[in-house]
Amino acid sequence: MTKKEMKQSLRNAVLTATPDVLGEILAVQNDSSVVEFKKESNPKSHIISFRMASCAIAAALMLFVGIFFMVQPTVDSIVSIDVNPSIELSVDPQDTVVKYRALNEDAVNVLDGMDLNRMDLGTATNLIIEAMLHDGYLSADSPENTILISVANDDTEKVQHLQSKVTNSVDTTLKQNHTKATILQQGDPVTDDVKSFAKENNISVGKADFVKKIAETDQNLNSSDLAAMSIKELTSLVDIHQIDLSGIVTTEIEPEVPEEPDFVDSDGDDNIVKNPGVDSSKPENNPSSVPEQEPVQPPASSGSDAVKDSGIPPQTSPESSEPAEEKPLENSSSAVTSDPAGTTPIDDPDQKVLIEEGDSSPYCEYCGSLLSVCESKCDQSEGKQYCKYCGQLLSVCNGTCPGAQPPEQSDPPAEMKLDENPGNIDGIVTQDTVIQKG
Amino acid sequence: MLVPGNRDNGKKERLSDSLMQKVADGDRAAFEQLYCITQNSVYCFLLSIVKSHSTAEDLMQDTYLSVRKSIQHYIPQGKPLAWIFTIARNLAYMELRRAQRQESSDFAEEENHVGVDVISNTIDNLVLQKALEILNEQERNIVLLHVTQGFKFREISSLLDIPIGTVLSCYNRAIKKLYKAVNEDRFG
Repeated sequence: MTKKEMKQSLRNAVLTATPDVLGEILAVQNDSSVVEFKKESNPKSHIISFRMASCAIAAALMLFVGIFFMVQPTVDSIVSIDVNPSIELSVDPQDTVVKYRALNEDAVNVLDGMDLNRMDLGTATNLIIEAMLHDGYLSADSPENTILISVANDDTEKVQHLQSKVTNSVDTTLKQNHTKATILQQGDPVTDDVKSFAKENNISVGKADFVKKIAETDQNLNSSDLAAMSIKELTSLVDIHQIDLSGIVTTEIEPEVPEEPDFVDSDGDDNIVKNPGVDSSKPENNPSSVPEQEPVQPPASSGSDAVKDSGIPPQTSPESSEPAEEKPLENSSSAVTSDPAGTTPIDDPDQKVLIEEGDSSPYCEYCGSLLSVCESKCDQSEGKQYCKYCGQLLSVCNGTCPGAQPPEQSDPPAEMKLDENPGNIDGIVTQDTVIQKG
Repeated sequence: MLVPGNRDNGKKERLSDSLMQKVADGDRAAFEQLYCITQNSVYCFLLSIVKSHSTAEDLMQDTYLSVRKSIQHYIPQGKPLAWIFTIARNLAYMELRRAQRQESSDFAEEENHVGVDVISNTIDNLVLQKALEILNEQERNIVLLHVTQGFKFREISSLLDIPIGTVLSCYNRAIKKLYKAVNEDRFG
């Protein structure tokens, strides 16, 4: 066979074998029929389609489950911030707040209108501390600001990381607001016992851990009573009982403040004079409850002694504690406590204030207001230049009050209606208040 | 583009973009004309890839159905046959992959019977069978398109996107190999 013959044979073979499928093609009129034709010509495509559909469903299911678990926040650590407001933050591994809750009424006030969800822990802490400063739970004028920061996590490195983050945020916020505070840190894993104790007393797990550790050091202390105390009261109690905190918490910042509070009231509370401009409903740094049965301390005893002698946890819970009013300095002889606008003191024997006045007293010895508020603008007359009718300064009243009496220097009336004193200090301090100059 | 005619007249017919436009407009006569012009070339091209008459026949149907379906997407570039060959090649490769996944030996079985059922002449059947057996895919493409359809080497080079030198050398080598194999089988 020559090459030419071979090529001819090949040509004939192909031309002979070429099928004529035009009729079948034209029989297919539309696209849907095309699909059916293909399916009929290839029955195995059903298996492929079924497999592809199964894979698609499985992939969609995995995607759905994955998204479901991604959306669900994972709580990695619990960070508790306690002053008196107790706030518990649940954070995920990325240090993002996924859940937060207020554990007492003060904390509800602090968190009012605040949304911390999906917020970085440092930012959330910053907002909380600023809110506490704004609401008066922490004060630039208070030397005894105490913050307990507790981190619950089994991973020690994670605990240190979160403690450092929160502490830095708190420190930065306090510095920005010129406020000093003692920051207590603890980072032990939370046991079921602590959790149940926190749930029973409606306190944070961090505070519950702190309280139980303190209670373990002294059998005379009842943990349930301690749970009702604020962090500041707890630290005072620690001082009284000389409990070593080194094994319990670490102190991050030592404030440069006097060791003893400047002012404590007669029943052991260490509330300080409040800024007159602050609404009376606003709480003070340490709104503690005052046991009514506590005897009035003699003037010779210092405020810290009063605290130490009390040594008994308040009977009321933090939730029921109203933000304590700041009580001004008063002189035993003049018994006048007023703000610069001229306020007639209110006689309230139950609210006697023991005042220890030292060189470092931040309060005006005449009007009892903070020096930063008073700025030596008060009349410095120990309250003797007030109108006996309206209670305002004589220079302010100038005989225009309803009493229509010419202004004269006189001792203020022993009792004056509260609503007639626009600049009063919320009716807390009394004429009987005694000042002790140190 | 001049395309070798069908088995009946043997003369080359013009396959132009205007004909493709008529097909796109739904002209049935234009589609029949397109089919008549290209059926041998398409079958030959598909056979050279899948080496199976029945599979090539099925793929030929799919190819023209796809052409009708996708004719709206045709961009006139003066190469309608190249566009049709692209569709046929894609369908053929898809079928080969599917068959490979299923590890089917259908093609091997079909190969042995490619000329038995439809080609009555024993010599023609032998030559075609030898061409499908001993030549690789590129050689089959070039030999079948040139020998059976009368495409010029330059056209084959354009259709298959292969350099003209490669087409020439590949063709000469394939013809020698086929000639030797056919003669050895007949007289050996």
